[in-house]
Amino acid sequence: MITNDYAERLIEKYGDMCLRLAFSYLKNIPDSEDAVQDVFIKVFEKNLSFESDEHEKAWFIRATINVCKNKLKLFWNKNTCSIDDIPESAESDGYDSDSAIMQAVMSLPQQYRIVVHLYYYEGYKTMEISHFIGKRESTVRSILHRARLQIKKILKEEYDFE
Amino acid sequence: MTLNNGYKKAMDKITLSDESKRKILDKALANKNKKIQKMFYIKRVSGLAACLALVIISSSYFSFMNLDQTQPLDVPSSSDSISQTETPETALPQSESTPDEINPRPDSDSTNARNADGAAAPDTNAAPRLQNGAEDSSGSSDAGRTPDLNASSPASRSSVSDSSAATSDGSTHSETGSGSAAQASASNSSADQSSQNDARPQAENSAQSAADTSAYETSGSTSPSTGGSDESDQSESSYDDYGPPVMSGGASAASDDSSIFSGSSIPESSNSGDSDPAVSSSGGGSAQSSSGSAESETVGSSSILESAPDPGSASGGSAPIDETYSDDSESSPSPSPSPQTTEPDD
Repeated sequence: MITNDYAERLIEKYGDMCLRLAFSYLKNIPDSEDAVQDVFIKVFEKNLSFESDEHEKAWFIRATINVCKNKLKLFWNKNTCSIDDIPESAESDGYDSDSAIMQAVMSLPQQYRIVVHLYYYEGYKTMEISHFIGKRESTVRSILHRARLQIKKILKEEYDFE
Repeated sequence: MTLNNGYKKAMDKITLSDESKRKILDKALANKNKKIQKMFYIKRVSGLAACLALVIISSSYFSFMNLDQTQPLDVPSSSDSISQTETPETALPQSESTPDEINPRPDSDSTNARNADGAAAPDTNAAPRLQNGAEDSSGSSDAGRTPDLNASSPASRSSVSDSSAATSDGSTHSETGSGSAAQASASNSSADQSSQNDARPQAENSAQSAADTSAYETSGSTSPSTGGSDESDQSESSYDDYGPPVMSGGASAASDDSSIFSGSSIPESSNSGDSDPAVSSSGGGSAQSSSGSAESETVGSSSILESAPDPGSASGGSAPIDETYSDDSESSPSPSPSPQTTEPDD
């Protein structure tokens, strides 16, 4: 039985992580917060019990990815233009627009962003990332390589321009 | 490393606020008590209910369409059934008539039995037979069978005349001529005669009928034999129009029974024949016609002799006819041999 203390502890422990992961998917803070809310609702509904903290964390990551994918499948998300597509309004996304690296990562394709986030921010290895996203380890490595090349290309253009 | 550090710094700035955490916690706990699974259950149930409703509506629609398609088919069937139900009284005798046609003797017995009950033999039973007889009489091969049918009852004769008028075959004339004592046949046959452009003047008919009635009055018989005399007139007119009946065999055979039945009425007609030679010459339904009979009479008599009328049928005359016969026999026994001679007119 999930108590309020246990719920607060889960939110304190995995709230930010889920929000950042959802943000890397959705590139929008409000939608990311909704995704995090849906993830925690699932946890409380199903009254899950985890074997370990790692298992618990992995479950939250996997749940957040699924919720974000479901949100991207919605008709509203498919038939509306994201605010990120407008460069002038990029500051309203809620993240540090001054960070060129952050902008370069957000300009990557979706699957590249997830792999970069899990690899560079969460610190997971390619093997673990392969389990999260359901792809081979070699595929994860190739995705990381391509993401780095694109970020490098973007940053190089900015730095060269400066 | 610059990527890792720069990206971490940027992502560390993204955090859930206390308000958003509180909000998420409240909603999660509230949804925990709501049991959201029922929502999915309700959705599935609503979908299934919608599918069932569509199936039911479609099935009902198709069934309704099938009914619409079958109703027109059922209407004629119902009409047929109605016609069948309407005719059972008439249809059953038809089934009886077939054996009668095969074996005239039993038929004559049965008809005699009916007639013995009184001339009130059911017209409905007789009509179909006569119709069949008329149909059969239209064919010359079945001519020998028709007489029994015609002789079944006077009422049947009237129906025969009707049916013959409807068919307007040559045999109809012989049938109309064969009728002797039918009450209704007089009117029907007269109507038929008028429709058939009777060559005989009406005045003559009226004179004959008057003479007949006077003769009957003299004989003291008030039986419907007057109708028979009228029919004899009718038969005359029919012969005048169409000449001797081609269907003489059937007609004469029909007249056999009629004459036999009308044997009772023969004295009456003989009286009438005595009074009116024209009637005797016509001799259609009368017994005297043997003496002054026309060709048709002779042909009819020959055919009668060939057809060998049933004695049982003679014995089984209709009740009113029997009465008249008894009366007439008392008055004039001579007409008794006439039945053989009277037949030819039909």
